[in-house]
Amino acid sequence: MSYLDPCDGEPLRAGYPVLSQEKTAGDTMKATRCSTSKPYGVAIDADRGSPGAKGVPVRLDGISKRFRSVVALRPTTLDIAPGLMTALLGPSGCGKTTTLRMLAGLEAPDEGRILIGGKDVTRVPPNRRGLGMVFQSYSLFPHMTIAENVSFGLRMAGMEPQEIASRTAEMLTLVRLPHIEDRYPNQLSGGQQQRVALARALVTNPAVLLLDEPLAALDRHLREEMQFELRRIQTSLQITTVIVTHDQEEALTMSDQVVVMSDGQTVQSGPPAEIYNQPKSRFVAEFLGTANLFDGVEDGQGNVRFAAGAGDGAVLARAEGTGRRELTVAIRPEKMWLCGQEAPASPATVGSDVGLSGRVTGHVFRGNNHVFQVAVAGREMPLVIYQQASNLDGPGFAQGDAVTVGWNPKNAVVLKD
Amino acid sequence: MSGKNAELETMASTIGARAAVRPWRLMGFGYIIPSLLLLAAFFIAPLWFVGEMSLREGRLPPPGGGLWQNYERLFLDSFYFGVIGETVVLSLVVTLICILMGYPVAYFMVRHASARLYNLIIFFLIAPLLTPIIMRTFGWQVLLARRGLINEGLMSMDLISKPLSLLNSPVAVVLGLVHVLAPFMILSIASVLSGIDRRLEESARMLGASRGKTFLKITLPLSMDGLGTGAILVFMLANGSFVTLLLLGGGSLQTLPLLIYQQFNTTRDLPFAAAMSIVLLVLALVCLFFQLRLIRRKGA
Repeated sequence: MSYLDPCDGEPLRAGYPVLSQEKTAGDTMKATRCSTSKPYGVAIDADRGSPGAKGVPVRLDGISKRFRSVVALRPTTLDIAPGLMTALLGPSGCGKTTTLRMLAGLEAPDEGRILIGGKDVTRVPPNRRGLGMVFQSYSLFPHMTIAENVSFGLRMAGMEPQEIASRTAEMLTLVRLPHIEDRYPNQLSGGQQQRVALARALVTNPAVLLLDEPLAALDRHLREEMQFELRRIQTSLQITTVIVTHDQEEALTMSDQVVVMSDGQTVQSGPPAEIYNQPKSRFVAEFLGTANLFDGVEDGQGNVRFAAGAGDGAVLARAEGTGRRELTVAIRPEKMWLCGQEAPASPATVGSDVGLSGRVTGHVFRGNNHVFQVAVAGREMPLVIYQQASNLDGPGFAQGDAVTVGWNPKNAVVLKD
Repeated sequence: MSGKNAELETMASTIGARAAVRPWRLMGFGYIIPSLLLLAAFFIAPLWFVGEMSLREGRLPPPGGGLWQNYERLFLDSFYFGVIGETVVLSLVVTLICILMGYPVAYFMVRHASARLYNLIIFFLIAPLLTPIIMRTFGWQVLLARRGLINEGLMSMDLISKPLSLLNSPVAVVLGLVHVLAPFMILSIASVLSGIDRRLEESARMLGASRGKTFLKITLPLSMDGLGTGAILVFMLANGSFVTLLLLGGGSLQTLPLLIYQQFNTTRDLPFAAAMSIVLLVLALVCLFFQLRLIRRKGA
């Protein structure tokens, strides 16, 4: 049932960064667990070696799915790195949940194969795949106590009652919810239910953990807390994890790999920083955070200049060997500067290579930064610019102020579409 | 000028309306008095009357019978006690068959039927409830009679040589009652089933439960409320059913409602009939008690 056997692990590594609580728990558990020959692993193992070393790789090999006439997923091949957290990110209806459900075995792909740990599980029913899953609504069994919920998987596997009890308690300790065994799900807060759902999914030591919008139902504060919590547990277990989310911030902060999906196919995948800093397409640039897009023309020497009469032909970005003349350039709002316009706009005044004259048309204070909307000539949409709120003097610019917008062309990304 | 007058008038009428509202508010829940009176006159008073009647001396007073003589006769005479038993057993059998037949239908409706099919099934479930019970029971008579459709059909196919006596048997009664009462069971199970989050079942599957285990551990326990409500409803209705027993049973089964009818109409032993009515009522109240407990547990 499980692809992981805790008993064949290397000895505990002193240098491995786990919280001491888990380390002791894993340690003592290992002693009790390995004396038995049951195939259940210890989810709290601290001895899985270096990150990613013991997780199970997952491969989606050309899978596709349609519901009646609606294409949910076009043929997609995706490798999910072992032991890491991979986020499937996209707007609703992009096929990310369908992908996850096919991985879980809750939907069958129309074509293609699903390999978990190198084994073809395409036709294996969900109860024999040995995966753990947490749903957005937590889906705790309302007629069972917390202990019964968490131990459900163990009972289905026919584990001995004594072991079930100790393992259940250990899992609840892992998610920092000890001593609530006898309560019912409706007596818990949303955050607590979330943790119980996680404990329930992890208790059988699944090969892969699947998270379907796990934090979407939580309020903002709790969500941020749970992001850390999930990440802590995932890294300490080094379990291959796939998280489905429509929240770009969640995807960027929590995962090692982000797969951006749109319209039933993957559009870009890579580490969060790469996805954010080097979006390949307009969709990715705009879906992950905010991007100011410019139409530019390559001048034959690797310099992209404004296409439409703005900016005095200043260099907008650098582009080498795209083989195209007309390009779209994206610049993140936080990579732009704002400068008062006492002097005429020029690269020198804003300390960058590009200077655009504009007028502030909107301002919002967001606590840690100021958001400005700046209208510039030759553009319908105003530019969006973030300025760090690094002092208490206020934004420095008011609506209607004439300003100069600047940025470093190195920070402008040339898109592929 | 006239505009100003109109404005004043509106103000005056508004104030008047407010003043008119106040006495109502003072009366509190006065508006339910008519229904309270109706209830008192046609429900509580007759009930009191029946209760009082049941304590009077009946036609065949047992020697040395006291205040509870009618009840003593009902529970101590093996014939009458047998009737109570038969009533309960019949209702239990009908309830059980309704559960066994109704659950799969409800499950199919909720889990597998398309929206159109679902509505169609609902229509077919409710439509018979709109036709009078007498009509439906006569329908069964037509089917089950000695020279009825079923016997004629079987004989023409040479499956039987002489007609089966289907009518006036417990089987006919159970058939008729299940037909009448199954929709109540199906609808109450379906409404609870459709409220069960499918993700709960999917979670169980992900945790290693087979389809059968998932049904037994998740779906069935969670649909118990609907099943319980349906069972109590069917049990109560079967307990009090009269027309079906009269027209399809033909005396093959003796139940309390039939006996009450007999005592009232033929024997004219009103106190004894009243005592049986009270027993039937208590049976219904016991059911209601369980139903309330079920609902309260759900709320907790």
